[in-house]
Amino acid sequence: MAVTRMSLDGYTFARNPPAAGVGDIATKGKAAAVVQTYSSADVFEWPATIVGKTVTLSWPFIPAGQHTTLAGKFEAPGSKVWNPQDGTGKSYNVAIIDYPGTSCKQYNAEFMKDVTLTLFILSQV
Amino acid sequence: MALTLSAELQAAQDGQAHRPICELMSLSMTEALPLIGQALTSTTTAADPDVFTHSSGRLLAVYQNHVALKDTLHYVYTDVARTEFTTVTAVTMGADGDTIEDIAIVELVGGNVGILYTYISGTTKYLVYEIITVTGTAVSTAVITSWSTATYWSDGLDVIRLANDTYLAVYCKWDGSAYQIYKLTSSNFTAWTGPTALSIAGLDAAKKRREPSLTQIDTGEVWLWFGYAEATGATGEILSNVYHSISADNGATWAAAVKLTAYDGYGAIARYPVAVQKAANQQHLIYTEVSGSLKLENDLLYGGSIDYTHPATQLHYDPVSGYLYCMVTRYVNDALAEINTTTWAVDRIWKAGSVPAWNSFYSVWEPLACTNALVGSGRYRPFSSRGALGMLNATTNVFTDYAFDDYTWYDGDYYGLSKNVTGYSVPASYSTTVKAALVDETSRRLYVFLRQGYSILSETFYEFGWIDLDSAGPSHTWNKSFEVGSFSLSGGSDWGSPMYDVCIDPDADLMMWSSGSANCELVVFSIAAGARLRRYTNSGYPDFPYGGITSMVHVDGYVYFTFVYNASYNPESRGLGRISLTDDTVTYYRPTWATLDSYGLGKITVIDSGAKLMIAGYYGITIFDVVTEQWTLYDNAAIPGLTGDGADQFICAVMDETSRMIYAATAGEQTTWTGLVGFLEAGFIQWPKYLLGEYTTSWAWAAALPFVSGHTDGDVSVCLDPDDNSIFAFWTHYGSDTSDIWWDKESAAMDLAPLLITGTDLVAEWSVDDSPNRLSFELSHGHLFDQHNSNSLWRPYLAKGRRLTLRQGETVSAVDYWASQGKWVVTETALSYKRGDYPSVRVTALCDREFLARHQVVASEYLTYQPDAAIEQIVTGEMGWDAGMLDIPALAGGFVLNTQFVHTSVGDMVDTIANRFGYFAIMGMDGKLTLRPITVDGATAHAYGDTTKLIDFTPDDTFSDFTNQVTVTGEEQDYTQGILAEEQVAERNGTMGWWGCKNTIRIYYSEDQQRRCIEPRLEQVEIPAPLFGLAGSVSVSLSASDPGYQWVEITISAPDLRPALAAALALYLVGNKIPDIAPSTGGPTWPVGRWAESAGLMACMMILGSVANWQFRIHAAPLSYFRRSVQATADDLLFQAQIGQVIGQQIDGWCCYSQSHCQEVADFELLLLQLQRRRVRFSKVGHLQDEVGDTITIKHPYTGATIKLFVAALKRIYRQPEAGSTDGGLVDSIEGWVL
Repeated sequence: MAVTRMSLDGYTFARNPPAAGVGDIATKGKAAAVVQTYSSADVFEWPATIVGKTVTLSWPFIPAGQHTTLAGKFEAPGSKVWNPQDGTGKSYNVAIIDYPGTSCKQYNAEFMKDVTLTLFILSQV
Repeated sequence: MALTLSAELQAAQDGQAHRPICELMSLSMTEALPLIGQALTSTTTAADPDVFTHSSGRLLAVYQNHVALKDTLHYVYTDVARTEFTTVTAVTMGADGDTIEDIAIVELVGGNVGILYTYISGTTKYLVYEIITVTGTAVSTAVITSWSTATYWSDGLDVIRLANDTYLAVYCKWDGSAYQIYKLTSSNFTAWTGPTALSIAGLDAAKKRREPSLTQIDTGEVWLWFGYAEATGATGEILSNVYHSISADNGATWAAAVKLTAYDGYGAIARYPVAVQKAANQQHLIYTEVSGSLKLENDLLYGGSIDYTHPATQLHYDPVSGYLYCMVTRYVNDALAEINTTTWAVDRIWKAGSVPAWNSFYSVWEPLACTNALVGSGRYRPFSSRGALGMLNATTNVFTDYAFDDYTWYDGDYYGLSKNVTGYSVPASYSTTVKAALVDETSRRLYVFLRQGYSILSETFYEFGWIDLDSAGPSHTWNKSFEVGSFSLSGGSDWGSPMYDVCIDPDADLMMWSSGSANCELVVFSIAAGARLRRYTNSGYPDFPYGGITSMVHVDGYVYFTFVYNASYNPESRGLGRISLTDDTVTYYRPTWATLDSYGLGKITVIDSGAKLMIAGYYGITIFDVVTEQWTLYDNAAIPGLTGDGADQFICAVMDETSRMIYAATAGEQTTWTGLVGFLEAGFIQWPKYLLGEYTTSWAWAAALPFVSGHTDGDVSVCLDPDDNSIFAFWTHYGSDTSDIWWDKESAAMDLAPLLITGTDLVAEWSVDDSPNRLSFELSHGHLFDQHNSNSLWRPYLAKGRRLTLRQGETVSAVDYWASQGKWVVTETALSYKRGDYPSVRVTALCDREFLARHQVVASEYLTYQPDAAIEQIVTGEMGWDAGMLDIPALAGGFVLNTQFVHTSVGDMVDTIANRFGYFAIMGMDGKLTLRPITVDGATAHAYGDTTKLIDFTPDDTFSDFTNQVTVTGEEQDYTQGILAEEQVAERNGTMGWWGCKNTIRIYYSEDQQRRCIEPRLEQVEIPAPLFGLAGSVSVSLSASDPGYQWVEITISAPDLRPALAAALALYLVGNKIPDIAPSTGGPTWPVGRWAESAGLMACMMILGSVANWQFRIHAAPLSYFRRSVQATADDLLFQAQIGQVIGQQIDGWCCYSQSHCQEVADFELLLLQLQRRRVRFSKVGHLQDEVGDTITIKHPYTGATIKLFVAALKRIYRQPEAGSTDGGLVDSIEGWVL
């Protein structure tokens, strides 16, 4: 069975992050406030939404080509469409807010290790 | 008064779990249409926009930029949320001199953008398609067709994507034998079929079609709109109306043309039609009305039928409000009209019988002022009749009368216009006539020039001076600058000559007038010194116009004037004259637009700070450039349809120097149509209008209304906002020689609540302390609300003065329930840009009370109303608020006030009245101004039965002190009469003698004849000595006293001795003729004659010596009238006992006319002091029911006792917590007074 790879701003990842490296995108965030009163408490709840949620994608390493592309996406401002290919069929407009990693070279192959791509979800497409 | 919530919202608010919702709408403060607009470009050469909404939500537009060498075509797009414009250059002409003509834009299947445009290179016109991506990247382009511009006239271009995803384009062109509308069709925007001439019945092949545009409405019908040249005038002018033709088969066939607009002359025509469908069975047709002038006939200015002999005069324009004022006058003042130049409609008319009405004296007696010599300023408009001057303050809608003579009764009719200008007087039997007046808002003076004469036609004395514009009345002090007799100027004639014009220039300290007929002269005075500076006559200055000056202005030491041409005395003096006040030289400037002797120039107006003069006259309006000495004439030849009857005669003109609109009044023997016209200094008026069409069984179109407020805006393109279906409009805004693209949005509204930054507070505050309600919050996307970011479409939403409305509520079972929380006005916005920081914008808004607080009033109307009616009168009269914006209850304890405010803000007036009766004024949550009582007796509006909603509780008497006694003083409303000690009130002396007398002298107790005295007593200081033989017959006596106590009459009498003198003289003469007699011969002779002569002489001498002085004094007891002081005291006896001291406070009570009034105020002030000592602060879970001014109960957190309190201040804080936090919710922070 072919692996379905994530895409970001039209780029299909050469290598998906491992399952453990994908942040939670299954649950929405919900704002809730609790007001403690003198003898009780009230709670205020706002509708749950995926908007505003931060998702991190982590790789132990990625090929140099993928790094170059992702770095270009990171440096370009504006929102991008991210399809997590999580089986829900949903895509998201995201902003890339962080992209750290370490450059490595081994056996004459260049790659990046310990890469983390932090996506901020702006809206669902 | 607590809000009444829906049952669902009430239950939710009372509950423990909440699902809060918030709506913060930004709305326009004005009507949705007409649009006002803001600039998209600042190139000064951009024009001809076309716009549409892309299926992605982006707003797309194109426009052309006519640059010096190569025209460019610009493409503008927004993001899908339509927040920001991005502009790219899509096409640049290849060769110098190539010009882009027409542009159209459409969304292509697949999302790309298709542009059709025409350009001219040499003598060839090319029609080109250009395909670009939605963000402006070029895809492909090619020429579709071309033709020779030398052979084929052509105009206009439009393209649409039909519902069947094919493209239909149209343009107009002369085919060599007929004018046609051609179509092109395509299925892919690259391969085009055609052009094919449309077959549309009802059109003349010899008449031009112009500016075609297409829409396909929801029925599938394709509507073709175009301008149709119905007629062409002798000089090429075109009569154009908007027509349409409908195709029910995607443009294959077309129905007969239908005319929609009904312009019937060359003076105004319809061009550039475009349409948009906002709803089923509804269309907006927008077109540009192109006209030479705007017109308002005098019927409209008068507010009823009136013939053309009643012209508009005395024009003045207020550039701040945009209002134009004029009088409609024939022999009397018929009406005063206020014209809104934005809508070009009469806004208000005042006359006898209007509301408010001016005194009918102004409508019955002719003004007699010099024509156009009553000069208004801002929203002050003076007018006159005889010696009375009326003044309208259009801001407050109040008239003020300045009566220089008494017109209580005049010619047998009652006007009740008593003399109220003090310090001004005329000799007995003289009458006063107002000749000129000028409102000077800088010095706050009303300058008035008066003529005093035996009759209204005589010219005997002149007097010039001023009245303080801020004088509250009812009497007004006259400040005389100078008084002079005309005979002292004109060489002996005290009948003078008719006055032609008066010029008052306070900035230059000059006042001058000109007269004509027998004594043609120009007299120049210094206002400050009251001294004559110059007097020009033809005899003294041969170049001075023999026939006199008819109109004049002063500019930088020169007097420019128009005059009566005289072929005999000054045959070479023509056109416009100029006198130098420095060297007295006279220069003439002859208009270049005609060769005449008399140019019929009349009223002069200074424009552009004296760089130009605008002159109304017999041949039109002419502008003279003082620097270049160039002349420009505006008449019906230059501007077809300038006036209603084609006549060119004008009486006066003014200019809006910002828009360069000239407003002029027609009048004179040429005219059969009188009224006002408005026209541009350069070019034609272009005013977008719209027709609303609705379909029932057929399309019906309403009357045209303004679509854009400006008069220099045209060629509109429109599309719809996909979210709220409102209209986006882009158009060309013209300057005098520039053009740019402007845009606006109908009913632009935006909910700002989704942009509230989590973790920050939205705070709404209300208080009883007379401060405006306050709203503050912080939004994301601050850069889009930056007022200096012209690329932003969101910029208008937080512009200063923008209306904000706040609603809060809860979602209950998926249904939103709301409670209004009030209306505010954006007052402040602040944001900053810093690398690494997100540019949020912090917003502060205040309620409409801020307008009341900022609006200063010099003098209010004299208020004789109940307090609630007084507040309504102040707010509606001074602020112009509709009564619907007020909800003022009748005030408990209210009585008819008798007061006037001076130099006070409207807010202070309202607060003063409200506080006097124990109320506070506030903008309620419904957005209306209301009053609520500060009371200890209020019913409990909300009872909190436990502490489950209480967050914190703090007794806090910080703002209290030890004052425990309040004394309020006032004055009775009525005067009390008192008698003062007797004093000398008058003294007189004189001489009496043998000639006899009986004089009765009326002596007033004071010079102003107003003083009243009783018990007059006569003291004779010098009593005439008894005359010869007349002792006891000389008397000085108090013979009568005024029942009104203002005077006494003293009678002085002495006998007339002239008969006795005659007898004595006769005796003397007779005695002189009587010879001596000898009673006996030789005896002594008796000189009987000499005896008689001596007796007669002695008697004569005695009588002639009978002259004596008299002197007397009048003593009387003056009556005094005063208002008695009243006072009352309120004591906090308990607190006095507690501290063992009485700490008092004295207050001057406002409108305290009796002891009980004082007691009311003292009790109220003491209550406030007591309440401040019982002040607490606490926070609780927010509840939308609670309002400031409510009486609520809560439980003491320690004792559990019920505390009843008055909510004096409420701060409602709404916060959605930021991620990872639970700090938020809806909290009420309250300052309360425990009752």
